Amino acid sequence: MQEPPIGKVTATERSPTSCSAVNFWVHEDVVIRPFDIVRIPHLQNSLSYAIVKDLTYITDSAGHLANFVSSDFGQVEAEPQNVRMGTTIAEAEILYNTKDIEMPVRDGAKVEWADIEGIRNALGLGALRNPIPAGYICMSNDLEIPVEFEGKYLLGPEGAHLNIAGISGLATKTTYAMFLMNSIQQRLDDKVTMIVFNVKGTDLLAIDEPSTEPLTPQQEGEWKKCGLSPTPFKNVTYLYPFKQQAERGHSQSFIDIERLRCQQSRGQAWNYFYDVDSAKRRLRLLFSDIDDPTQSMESILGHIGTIEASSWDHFRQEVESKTMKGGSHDKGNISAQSWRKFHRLLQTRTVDDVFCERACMRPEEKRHVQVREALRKLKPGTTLVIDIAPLPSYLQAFVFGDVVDSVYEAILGGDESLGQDQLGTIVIFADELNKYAPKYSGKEKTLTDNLLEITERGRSVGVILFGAEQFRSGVHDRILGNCSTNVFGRTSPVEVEKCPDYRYFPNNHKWAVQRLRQGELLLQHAIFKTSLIKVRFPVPAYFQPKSR
Amino acid sequence: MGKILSVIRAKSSLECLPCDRVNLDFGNFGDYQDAGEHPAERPFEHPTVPTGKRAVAEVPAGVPSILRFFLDGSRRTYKIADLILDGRRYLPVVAGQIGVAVVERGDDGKMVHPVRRFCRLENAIAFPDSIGSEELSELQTEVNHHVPVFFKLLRYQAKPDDPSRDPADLAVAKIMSEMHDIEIQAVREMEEEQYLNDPCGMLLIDGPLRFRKRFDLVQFRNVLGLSKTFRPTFTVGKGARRADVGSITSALRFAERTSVYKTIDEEKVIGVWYLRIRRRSMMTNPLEGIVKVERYAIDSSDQEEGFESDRIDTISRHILRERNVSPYQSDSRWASHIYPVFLAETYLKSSFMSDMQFKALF
Repeated sequence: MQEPPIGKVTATERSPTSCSAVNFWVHEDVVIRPFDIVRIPHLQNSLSYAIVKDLTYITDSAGHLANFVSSDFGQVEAEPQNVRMGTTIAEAEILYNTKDIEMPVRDGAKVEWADIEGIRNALGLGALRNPIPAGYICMSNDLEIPVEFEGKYLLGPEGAHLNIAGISGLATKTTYAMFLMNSIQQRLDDKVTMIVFNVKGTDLLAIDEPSTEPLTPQQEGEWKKCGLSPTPFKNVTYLYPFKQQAERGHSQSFIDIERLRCQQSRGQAWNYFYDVDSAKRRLRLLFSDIDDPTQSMESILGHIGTIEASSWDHFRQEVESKTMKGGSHDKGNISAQSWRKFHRLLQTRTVDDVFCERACMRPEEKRHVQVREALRKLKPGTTLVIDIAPLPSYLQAFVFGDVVDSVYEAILGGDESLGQDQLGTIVIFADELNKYAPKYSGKEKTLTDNLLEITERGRSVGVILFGAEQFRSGVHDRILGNCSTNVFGRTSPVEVEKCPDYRYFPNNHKWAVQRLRQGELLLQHAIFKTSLIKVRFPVPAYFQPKSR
Repeated sequence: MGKILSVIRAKSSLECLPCDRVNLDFGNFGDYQDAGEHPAERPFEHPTVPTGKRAVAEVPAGVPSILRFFLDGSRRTYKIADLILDGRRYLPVVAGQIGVAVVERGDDGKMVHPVRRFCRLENAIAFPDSIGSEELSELQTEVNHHVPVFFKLLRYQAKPDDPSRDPADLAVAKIMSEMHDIEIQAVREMEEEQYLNDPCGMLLIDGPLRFRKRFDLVQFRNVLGLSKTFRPTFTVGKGARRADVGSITSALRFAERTSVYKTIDEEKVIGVWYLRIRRRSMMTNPLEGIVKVERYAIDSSDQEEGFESDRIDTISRHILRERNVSPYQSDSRWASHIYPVFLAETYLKSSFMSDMQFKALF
């Protein structure tokens, strides 16, 4: 049965309809909200679809004073016999016409709730070739419409990279990234490899286990609305930072020991470490946050490749030997003072247990693996979770940078044992992206440079960055600019004013982004025919261990 | 489809001259619609109000209003051409959009909505009466054959011996008379369809009950006329008590009403009284915020003894409660305007063709 109209188009001298905008008044019994999509009959029996951008309520009151007067000149207790005439006016953006008519919609045209097929066509979802479920729209009339991203624009080659911004504490950014990666795994299982960094707590350290509290039918239903099954990730390997502590499974991770043992027994969990050779190649990343105005650090890092050392102690001794004035050691024309500074930094930054030699005693307990070795074991359909949460921030950046560089090198042919054919498209998810690619501040840091390289050229070689951060204003502009998909979670009014990206939002979208509820996001994607779509997405189907 | 003036020129021998098509409605609020009415000599209620005025208390919130229907008739008139008649007289042709809107208060007591079956819109053109009625009827057929909108052609009495009356005013008055006809027709239809049987569901008409027409008075049993303006020089009372309404009403305090006075229109007996619905201290002049209420005396007892004071008080109390909300700043007559009537007027005027669209028909 056809639903009754919910309002009528109103075109006035001051507020006419146009090719892109339409206003309509709303029947008093109808509840409607921004981001709802409506349908309007138009010329030649066509239908135009429009998305509600804002709602206003107007009355015939000429001004506030008229309302003051209507309360017996300011008597708060006065109860007027009559209700002032008023109506809700919806301001909507035209998305699509079934016959490609671009004429303005006519005054008085009846406005109806849109149908699912029409909405999908209107949003540009009608003819996706590689649809990747991205959530669902929930309209005010309880209609629910699945929303997908186009794979070619999310994972390359036409467009790539995803950024998620939003304040912490709503379980939205990471949860959405994981939902999307689960969606990718369910849809493109044999084409995509995923690398996930766990940066806080233990949230992502059991993503292959079903939740201990079974999903409610409603929660399962949300997955089905997206065309997905509520299952945890498959084929997951976990890498934890090594620690010389047998009772903790030789891991620094915050994960509970029982779960860790379980993962180890299934051959899923390993402890990563850096011996001198593997670390030496990436030492730039370890010091990328150190100011180096005289470029002496850079000279040292260039020179350090010539140092041959069999162990970390040996390496530190070699470096220390260059801190002595005079002597026969090759200092590479770098002053002893600079070497001393470097030595101090090296001492403090390589004190962590991850900097050690490969285990030769009880290796089955220590479960040592180098990051590069773990990458070699990956193949499309697998997911690698790298726990960096227990590490200090400079080590987090070091590990993250090492992974990114290793992957990129492998893809570009720098590692013969690892190639794109083996890995397929690689998605790297990093939370707190602002740590690794902060806003441009005069000179790019090594890690930022590498991430820029990935976001600018990665789509053509299949290295895709999924980044998340609290505040977009803290992330490098070029990295954000290269993301063809942007996700906006709830943010603060200060950020809305501060971040240039929000300045181009219509006012109601600025309002909406400050009031999003848990599980709600605004999506911006290359193929959408409107700037932002508000979607809901399901709760995770994997187990999320509680951490203190 | 042709333009109306072209049709008139083509289908008649009238010498029809173009002119600036001006709206004739602006600035006409100054004229009191009750000008020339019969003086009200004696009080018309029982028991009488000895002091000539009485305070009424507002009906408490929650008590259903006895005012259920509100009727407003409106017009928009335009001078659209001039005619030279007999080679001697130069008289205007005036066209107008007229209509009647009836709105009904909903069961919630707050919102009103139009009762479309009683709403009417008509278009009319007033010609001097030196054109014969049969010829005008023929011309009406021709005009309506050639234009997309129906027009009724009327004849106004252009008195060659009364130079004080502007012929355009006479033409407008004719169109107003036509509007009164459709107002009366709307009341008749409402009464026939049993809408006006309930004394607790009265119809309030905007303006005085001065139609200067013959009709069955019984239909107006539960009808009131409410005027936003009145002639302050209208005299009420007799002998030493005779006074101008302006002097009586200016002394009214908030929620006070005058006695009811008897007046006559075309042999119909009318009771009229005045009620202050706004605090005087908030008004810019002493006559602002006062409404004139009229009611036909229909039963013989009413016609002889006047209305019962209690009933007049009850009606006044309900009218007093209608003062809010107010069209302040939207209508210069806001202080005496009743919002449902304002809405009926808004509904009607928004149903008219725009000035530009209407003038383009000529």
